[in-house]
Amino acid sequence: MRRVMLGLVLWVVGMLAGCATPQPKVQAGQATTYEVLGMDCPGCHGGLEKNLTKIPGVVGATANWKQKTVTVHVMEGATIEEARLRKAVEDSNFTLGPVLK
Amino acid sequence: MRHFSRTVRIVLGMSFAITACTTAMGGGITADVGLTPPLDRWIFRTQVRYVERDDDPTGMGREMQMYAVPVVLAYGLRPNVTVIARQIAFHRRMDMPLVDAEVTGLGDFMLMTKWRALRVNRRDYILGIAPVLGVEAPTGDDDFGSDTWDALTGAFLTARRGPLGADLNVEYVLNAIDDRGGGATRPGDALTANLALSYQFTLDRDATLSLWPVLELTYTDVESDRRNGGGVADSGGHLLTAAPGVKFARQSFMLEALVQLPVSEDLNGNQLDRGIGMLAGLRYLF
Repeated sequence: MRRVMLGLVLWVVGMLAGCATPQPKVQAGQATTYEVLGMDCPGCHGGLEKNLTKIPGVVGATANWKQKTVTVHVMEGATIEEARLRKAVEDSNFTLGPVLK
Repeated sequence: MRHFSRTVRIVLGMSFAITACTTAMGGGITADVGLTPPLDRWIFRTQVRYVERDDDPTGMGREMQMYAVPVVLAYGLRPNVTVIARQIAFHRRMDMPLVDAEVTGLGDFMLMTKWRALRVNRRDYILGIAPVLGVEAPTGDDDFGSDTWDALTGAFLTARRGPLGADLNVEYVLNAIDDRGGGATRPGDALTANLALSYQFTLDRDATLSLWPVLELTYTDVESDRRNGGGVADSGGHLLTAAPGVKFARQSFMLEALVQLPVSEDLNGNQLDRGIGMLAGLRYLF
């Protein structure tokens, strides 16, 4: 039982440490920042980034729930239809807003 | 004397067990219940819940301490459909006049789906409503399972406005859907309503850390159990608890804790009164 508890504590500490590790940011190619409505917590970014990076041509996505934004990094020369982005954001249960920069 | 002792054990044990898995171990830390997780996103959640029951109305000095460890796995099957599986492990200690007993075992396995009926994302508020439908299979051990197929239905609501949050959760458990007229003991149906109010503090400039003080109010009304067409005396009743607590999140990882205080209770027959409950848990999105 003590081993189980020790393992659980180590896992929790490991998860906390892992969450603090900065996520790699892909800067290659064009980057566009959109407003995203509906994000309300520090854990919101993961699902959104995961669904956006499934789109062919998207090489990275970085969301910020506090600023309600996501920056999408697109492969050099690739063109992503906004409808694909909108669908990925809606699959994450958020709403895509206007381009900010 | 030996026969008397065995009978007393069975009767007292049943009076503990009848409510142990319902009113005694009501949920806690309700968060984002009206929101469905993103497509292809998993949520792992577990808690350690503790509750004590005492103030024996029979004057026999019975007491009970109970631990429950629910493990929940949720998956965003579609953007608007979440599948949730739950298994609870229990440990119960009973102090009785003639015997003390400790039992450990598993409760029934539950499978539930949650639909996104409404999701409104605005700059100044978020609103979500999600009905749920679930089934609990009779897979649990004798001491902790209901031995019947049970159905769960309900509706969840989540509202956020800036740092303020409110979650409302109403559930109805229809027990023994496979044996509504049988001769065996049929657990009474249970209605639970939970309101959780929270305020979010962001702890760092990058907004990776958040802290929420939470206040939860939970009302549970359980019908008396039925046996041979009649009600079982030491079962059913209603309970209202207030629970101050706190949630802490670091990106996708969340820790939560609260203390449940009974505010009002009216339990039928010779059931033990509900004492203080405590809960600590963690949640991880991946």
